Amino acid sequence: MIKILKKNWFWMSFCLILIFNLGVRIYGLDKSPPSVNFDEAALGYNAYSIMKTGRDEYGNYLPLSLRSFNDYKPALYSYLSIPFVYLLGLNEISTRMVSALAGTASLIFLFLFLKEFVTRKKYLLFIFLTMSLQPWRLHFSRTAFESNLSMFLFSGGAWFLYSYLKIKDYKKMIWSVMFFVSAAYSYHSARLAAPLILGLVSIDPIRALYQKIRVKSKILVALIMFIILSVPIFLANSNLVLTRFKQENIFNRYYPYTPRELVTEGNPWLNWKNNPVYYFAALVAGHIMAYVSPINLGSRVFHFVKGSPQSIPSFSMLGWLESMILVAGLVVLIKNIKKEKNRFLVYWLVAGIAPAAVTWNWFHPLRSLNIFPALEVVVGIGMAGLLIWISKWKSKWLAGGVRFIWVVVTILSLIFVINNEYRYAVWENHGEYQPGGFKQGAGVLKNLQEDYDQVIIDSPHAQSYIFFLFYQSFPPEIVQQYASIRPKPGIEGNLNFDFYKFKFRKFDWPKDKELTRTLFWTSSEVKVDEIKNTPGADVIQFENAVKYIGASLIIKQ
Amino acid sequence: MNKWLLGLLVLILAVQIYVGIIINYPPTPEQLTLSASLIPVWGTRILTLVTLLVGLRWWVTKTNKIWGKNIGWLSGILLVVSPLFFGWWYLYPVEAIKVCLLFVGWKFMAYSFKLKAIVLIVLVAGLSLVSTEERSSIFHKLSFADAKKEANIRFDREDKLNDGVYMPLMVRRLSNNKVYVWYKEIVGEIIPFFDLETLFFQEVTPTEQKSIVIFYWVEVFLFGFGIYVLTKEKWQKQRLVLFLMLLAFINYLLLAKPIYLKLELTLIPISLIMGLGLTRLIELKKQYWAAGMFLGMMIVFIGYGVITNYFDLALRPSYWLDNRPQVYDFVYKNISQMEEYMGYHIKVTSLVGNSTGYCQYYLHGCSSSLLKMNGFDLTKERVESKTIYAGFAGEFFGAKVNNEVPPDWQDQLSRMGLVLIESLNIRDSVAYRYGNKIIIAVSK
Repeated sequence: MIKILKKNWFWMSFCLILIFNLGVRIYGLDKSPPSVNFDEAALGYNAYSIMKTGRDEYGNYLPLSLRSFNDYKPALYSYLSIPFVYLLGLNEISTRMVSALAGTASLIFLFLFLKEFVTRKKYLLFIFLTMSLQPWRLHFSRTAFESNLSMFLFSGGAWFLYSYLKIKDYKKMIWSVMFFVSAAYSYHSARLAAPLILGLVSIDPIRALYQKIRVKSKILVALIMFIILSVPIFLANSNLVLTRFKQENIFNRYYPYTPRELVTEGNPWLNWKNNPVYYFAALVAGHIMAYVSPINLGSRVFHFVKGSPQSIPSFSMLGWLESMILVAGLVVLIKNIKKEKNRFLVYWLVAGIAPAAVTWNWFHPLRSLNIFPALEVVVGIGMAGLLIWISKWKSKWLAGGVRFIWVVVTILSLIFVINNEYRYAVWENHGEYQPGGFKQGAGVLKNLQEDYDQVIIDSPHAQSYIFFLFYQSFPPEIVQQYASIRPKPGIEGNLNFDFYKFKFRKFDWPKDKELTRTLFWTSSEVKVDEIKNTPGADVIQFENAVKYIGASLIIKQ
Repeated sequence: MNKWLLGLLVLILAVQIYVGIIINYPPTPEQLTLSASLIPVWGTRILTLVTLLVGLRWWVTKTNKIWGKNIGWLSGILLVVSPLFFGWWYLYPVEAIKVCLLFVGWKFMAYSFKLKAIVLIVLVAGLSLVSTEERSSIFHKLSFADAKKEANIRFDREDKLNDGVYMPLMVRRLSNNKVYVWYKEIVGEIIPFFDLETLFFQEVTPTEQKSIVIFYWVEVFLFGFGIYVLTKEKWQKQRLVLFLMLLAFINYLLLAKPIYLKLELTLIPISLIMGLGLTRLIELKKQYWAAGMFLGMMIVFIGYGVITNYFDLALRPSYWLDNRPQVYDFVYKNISQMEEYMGYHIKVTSLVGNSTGYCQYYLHGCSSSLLKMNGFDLTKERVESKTIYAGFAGEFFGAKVNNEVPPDWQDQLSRMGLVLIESLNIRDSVAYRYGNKIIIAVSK
């Protein structure tokens, strides 16, 4: 037994790390994050709807994109969630399971890539353990994010593409295309990133700077295959699929690009002193470099990220130490840029950044998630380089001491990351991403609503309907009947619609107390005494995970 | 080639001096402290510029000697074109002296440099510490007091959860303990040193922070190429650059000033790395078309960056430069012209620091017992007769959480028995909650 352990210690350690990561991603999935956010609820409910009826909430049969909040989410995540919804029911666990499993599975590709760059086995395992529990990895695996699924599939595509470069086996190429196509069906970013990485690897522009261009034509064939297999996405809803891009692109938001105080009358493009081309190029360059800026990766949180589901309390994306070691990794990467595997990493980064760089946000974790495995490999290169450098120190005691402290700090950091995600993050998010007490109260409402004529919902959220559908596992056949009255594509803002007994409007107790056989749901503060003193009225209040009142349900007989 | 580069250097300096004249910015406190408020501000500026140029000369010659070719010249040009270089001689003489001393130390640096390295580290650290009265935030993090507090807060918050994920107490203690939180705080102070946005992208102000442009955005690509060139050099030369980075890091950690000054010493090693890159591109341009194209793009875009940024600086100095000198410039210039109120008491704000230097500079004497420079609060004090009040709106009408100035402030002023002499709106909130309006009013 001991001999077997000694012989296979490396692979056993790898398996142990993988199993540990799976456990950490699945444990307490219903409690942290404590409740679903809009998009999770939409993904879960549409999975439920398709499972039950073959149609999404709008009645579209086996859609490739989910119209959802008129944002046309890629549908693959929902399809993959169906078995879990079937087995476990519609809840947080079944909705998030795909993300948890995808996040775990992506570690396999991470390991395979790290193995290409780190040759010493003990260092490799240490680096792999460190990277496997980076804050972003745990956080994004515990929330239903299509981008996390896409990241896993994109990593797979990248791995098989890289493998093809090494051993020229056409089966690897086919696997690569299948993974990339799947990534495109799971999240918008991959629709640009995948063809871009295929194109870049095929042309190898960095190599072309110092040698004759040699296009790898077979990879171009793979690119064409990708495009053909992705066509159905665009045919399904043509220009509506580009809705998200129209909403978020960099071109409109920053126009006229030159700072407004410097814009002169007349044609801004003819302004020789402050030409928009210069500033636009600066914006694009900055958007690209933002994803290798250690402060963005390690600590800075932009205002549009804070408070959103992609925000990780105490962190940005990477660990603090790892975000600084990235600098060392980048230096080593640049130094050895003539090696094909290093150029491959650069192309991966460029391809993954591109979809995020053309949107207005300076640094957007979700849209750029495809690059983070590559960034981790770069950090791993830096870590390996530093470990090797330390091992060459003259003083073995000092070297040993530094390595020991590094290991201790890493282990404490991993524990911190886990505890931070499980417990502290719940407090930081005030118990839920979209406060409203839906998780606690929707089930109670469900038990009561059959005995009442109407349910009036007063919620500040533009799409709070989805939480009632989700937490009540509401019959999709009923919801689909209302498709024609729902806000049309292109409309943003309030997307709530009246369905069944539910009416979405502002709650005004002085007037509404005259109504009978009515339930009122409100997230606003209510005067409990005033309501209880009204004949036939009662109130139930729901505390959320941080013990404040998320919602009140007023019963008026 | 040297004559061309020298000519370029002179041209850039001429542009800077011209822009400086157009802006005509008020002196900073450190300029007044150094000159004892006795010499005109332009005298201090020219002296500072000369000091920097003398140091720069040593930088250029020594760098050329170590690295060969024209790397010293090219890195010197890249240094000088930076708006931060302009900021050094125009506004921050103490920082300029620090840089000059660094250049002096660099001049005497050789490959075996241990003792000289220690001297330079002590010099940079010492100057960073003494250049302001405030202490850098890293010192507040060194004690365990804050860490202990935060660890307790985190524990407390987690305990308040209704139905949280169960974590064994031991694990929670390993996570939320003062030692680890202390480490977190320290690392949190270090990470912002690695800030590409502040270094290279201030032209488009992505983080909306106040900062002078350090490098033009296109230089980030030249920097990347320079890193590649540097990695091919011998370790002794690489070590020198790393050492300069270390000095920049020490300055960043210990200096309690705005972020662009904390990162100022990165200008030196990064311009050296870029100079390396440029030199290599010049060598390669005949061999590789891409090198020639990249070199051309760098020259065009950096050149355009210089034009557009100095034009921007001339047009909106308040946007780029510290607004605090404008406060005392406005106050004391107006007071010096208020001859009809000779003999009146004068009360001046102190919200943006001690104004003694400004008082000396504009009024040529601050010894009068009529002049009080420790601020006022007219929501608590009685308005005194025959008194000139010069301060922020909040000192007249009360501090507001949202930094507001009452829309009927002029009426309120009249009701208080004050006559408005002058007012000025400044761009930045330099005295938060007290408004961006400076008011000079008199009670007769």
